[in-house]
Amino acid sequence: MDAYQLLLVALNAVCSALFFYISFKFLTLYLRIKVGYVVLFSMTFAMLATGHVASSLSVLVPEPRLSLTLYTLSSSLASSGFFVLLCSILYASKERVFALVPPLILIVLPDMVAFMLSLLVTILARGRYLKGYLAVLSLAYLVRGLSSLLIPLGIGVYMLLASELSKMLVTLLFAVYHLGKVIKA
Amino acid sequence: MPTNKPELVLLIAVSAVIALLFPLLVYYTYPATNESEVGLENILEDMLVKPPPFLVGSMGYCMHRGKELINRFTVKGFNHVVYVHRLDRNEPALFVLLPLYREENTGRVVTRNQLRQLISRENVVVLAEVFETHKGKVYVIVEARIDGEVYYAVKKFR
Repeated sequence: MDAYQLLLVALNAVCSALFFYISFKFLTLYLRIKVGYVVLFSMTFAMLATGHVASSLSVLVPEPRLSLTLYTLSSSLASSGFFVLLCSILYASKERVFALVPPLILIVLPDMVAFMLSLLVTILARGRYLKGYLAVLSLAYLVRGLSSLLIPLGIGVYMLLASELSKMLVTLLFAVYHLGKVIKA
Repeated sequence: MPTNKPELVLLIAVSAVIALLFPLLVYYTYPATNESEVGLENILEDMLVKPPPFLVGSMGYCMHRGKELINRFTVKGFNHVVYVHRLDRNEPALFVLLPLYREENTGRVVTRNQLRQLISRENVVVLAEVFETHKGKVYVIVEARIDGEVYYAVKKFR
């Protein structure tokens, strides 16, 4: 094992120790004051700590398949932990509008995936017009995703409408452009 | 805090799905590389650091392109990898040898250096796992047939 891997393992070990300590502190706090969402805080930090344990195991386990699985597990545990944290914050806050956030994430996720994939396609595509069209389409998905997230703030409504309209307009222009080519041919 | 039991159960279920779905997907869709991707460590030798196992794993997951039988080639040179010229496709290729190979009948174990000398002979057929890396196609040799002797790569983990 070389210095880089040793450093990774050491840093991960320190992070997980600190997170476990925070988690333990929140748990003792809960046992004292019995306020429900403190348990969720404790759960979040325990998950983050476990994620770091998985991360250091992914360096230590020599088998590539298992190592890659642990590597994915470390980030998925972290996102799961942040999900729990998000829920605990939402339940703790009195602002009812924030209760929208968990379903919003579901709506935004496909937009974000579409944005990332279309960005990749844009980079790989040949031809100036196709590239431009794909770039705008990709941006439209990004704006759509962001605007869905911002709906509770009001500005998101206009962003959503604008991005849908721009997507349609660009698609129409692209179709007309190609129609022109087909008719000429 | 979820006020009732169903909400808490739902929360735990959703977070469990988020945590476990992707690792399980990766584990069960991992290609059957026969652990040959460890040979790719040689390809990454010019890196500043030794490639960690998860990097090798993600290369095995993303870059594996199946198996190929190669029977016509001439050895052009070698250092830690064997540079060959494929006569059947008329293109250069990179062969990577795994640390140890075992002969099927006699059970004799040979190292990569010994096998490298053996495959520079005539009439050699090798079975290789193909990886499409940033350095072009890389053939990791998992089996070599030399004059009626069959050498299999010895698995590292198990």
